[in-house]
Amino acid sequence: MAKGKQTCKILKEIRKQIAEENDIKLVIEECTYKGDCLGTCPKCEAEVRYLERELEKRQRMGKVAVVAGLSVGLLGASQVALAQQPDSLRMDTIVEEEVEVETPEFFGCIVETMPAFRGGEQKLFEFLGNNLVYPKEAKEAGIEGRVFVEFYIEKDGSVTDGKVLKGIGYGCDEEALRVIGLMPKWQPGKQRGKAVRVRYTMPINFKLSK
Amino acid sequence: MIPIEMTSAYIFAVSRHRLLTDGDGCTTLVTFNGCPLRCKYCLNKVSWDPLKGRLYTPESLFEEVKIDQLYFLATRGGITFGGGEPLMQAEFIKEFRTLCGPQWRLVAETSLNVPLDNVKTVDPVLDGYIVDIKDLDPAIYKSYTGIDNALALSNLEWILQYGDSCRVTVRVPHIPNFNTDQDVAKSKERLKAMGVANIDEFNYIIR
Repeated sequence: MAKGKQTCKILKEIRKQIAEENDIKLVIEECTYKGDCLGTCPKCEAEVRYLERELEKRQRMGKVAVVAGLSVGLLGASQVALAQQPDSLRMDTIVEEEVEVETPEFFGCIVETMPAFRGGEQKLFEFLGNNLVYPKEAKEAGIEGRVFVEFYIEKDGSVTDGKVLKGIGYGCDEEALRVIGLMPKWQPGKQRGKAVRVRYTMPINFKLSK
Repeated sequence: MIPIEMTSAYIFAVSRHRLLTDGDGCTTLVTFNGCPLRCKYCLNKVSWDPLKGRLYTPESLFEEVKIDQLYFLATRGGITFGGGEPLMQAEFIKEFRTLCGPQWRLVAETSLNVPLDNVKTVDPVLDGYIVDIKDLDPAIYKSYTGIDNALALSNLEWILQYGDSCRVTVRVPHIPNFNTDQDVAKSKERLKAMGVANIDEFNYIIR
């Protein structure tokens, strides 16, 4: 396949994922253009702008926009093999109300220094991989899916107030919360050099190994 | 017209939708004009003239590239600054970070052959470095690039000492007619001893 067409195909998949995760209706028509392209075209761009508008709408209604890291696995960049356990994780970040935000973007807000799991994302993957146990009930019922958990990284880096925003049941929600509760202190987020409380949303995939 | 006192830089290309080619995720490659090196097999000789290309401010660049913000966030990608030598535009990149926020991944493809102050300016806002170190042997480096490598090496040491070494990928090329396989092996050995964890050995393609 020509490079432009291949890029177009991947970008289209990313748009689909964003739409699906945020319950946005997106009808993608099959591209009939025969030659190679730049990987994007006015029609593709219009879909991106549509998604932005829909995400904005959802944010105004107080909903969580799930975008950050959503398509990492699609590009094969960070496939984390966690046998019989969550196969990947993605994060979305929202700064708590008390933080003064200078430049609101169309989803999420901006904090100057984001909280970080000590040792980085890879260590976070390892931590989850080492601690998450696929619930027996879910395994027996063949349940797979994503549990969206929300928690706060306090000014001292501790993890508090974990709750499930969207669950899949069969013990997976409780398991995700249990492991979030086990997490060690993070490096706190900072705004203008001062530690701030930051809300985190983390989707955790439960996927059975084949 | 861009007022002269504003931070601005000449950029000769803005290339969108690069998938896993310049670092993680979907990236836009932004290539600055101006380079201290004169590499014999340079692919972007247009970058040697510091005053060619299109003049941007951090704001005008952000306005242009934010069109792909959804892709950046979804794939944990962002902007890869190349050139030319992007670290000659340290203030520009620093200001750009204040505009794009912390979630975009900012990476510099650099020779590190710039004053240490430039590295210190840009280091806090970068998520990654892709360092083309050429060859660690000073004579080989000089014959290929026209200048010394002492500054590049001391800057690399500074980054490894004061930053997170996981952010650094050092590319070690086989340069036809300039270094041998043994030279490359020696460079790799020294880099490992310096604490470089990610080494990417590759062949220069002469066009």
